[in-house]
Amino acid sequence: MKIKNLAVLILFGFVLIFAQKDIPNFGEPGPIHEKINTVYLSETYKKTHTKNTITAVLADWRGVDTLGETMVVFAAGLAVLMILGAKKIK
Amino acid sequence: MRGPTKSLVVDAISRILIPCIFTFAFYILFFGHESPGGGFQSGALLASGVILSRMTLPEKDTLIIMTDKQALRIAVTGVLIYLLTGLIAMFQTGNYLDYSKLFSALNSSMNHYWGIMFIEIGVTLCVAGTMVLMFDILGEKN
Repeated sequence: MKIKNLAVLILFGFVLIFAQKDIPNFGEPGPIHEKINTVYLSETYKKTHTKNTITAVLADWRGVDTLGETMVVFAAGLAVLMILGAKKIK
Repeated sequence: MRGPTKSLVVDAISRILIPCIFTFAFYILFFGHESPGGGFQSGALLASGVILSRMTLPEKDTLIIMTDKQALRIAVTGVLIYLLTGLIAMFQTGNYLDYSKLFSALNSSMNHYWGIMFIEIGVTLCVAGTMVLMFDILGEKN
């Protein structure tokens, strides 16, 4: 069992070292800065008519993502309610 | 008629400060379309005002703002506003959470404005209600 774990660990380490080649160098623009970012900056005002790009990305381009964040916050509150305060609020 | 801190100064200052915090929260919410800000920040500010009143004001005065049961209902209402905005956009022949056809009477620019505003209001209510609810449950004394 120990040997199997060690083999998986070494294999995973090789995968990480192999994937490390594709990371852009420190301080250099990667694919996200060259492809996606320029599209957001140039298309946001044309498509969403919002001056604040951050709000447009948060609420308009990625509305479903923000919906998930809101539901995560609400689920955390529900978890606290169910674990600690179920008898207080009925 | 003092709060838990038994201090007149804390009582008076927090009575002045809490409306200012609420006003700033609404400013951040309604001006988040054009400046830094938005739903999460505004919800945290609203909750901080309520939590400040919980810590400094007497119980009779702080329960006027929001009780714990109302906090739970407010959080649920926020999530429902968000979901319903997406559903309304879907019934107006758009995609889910696609605001460009939200109300047929308005043009595309105002549709995006009101769509973002509605979901920010939903996020604000959810975050504020959840934070006040957590504070009330964790600070319960018995």
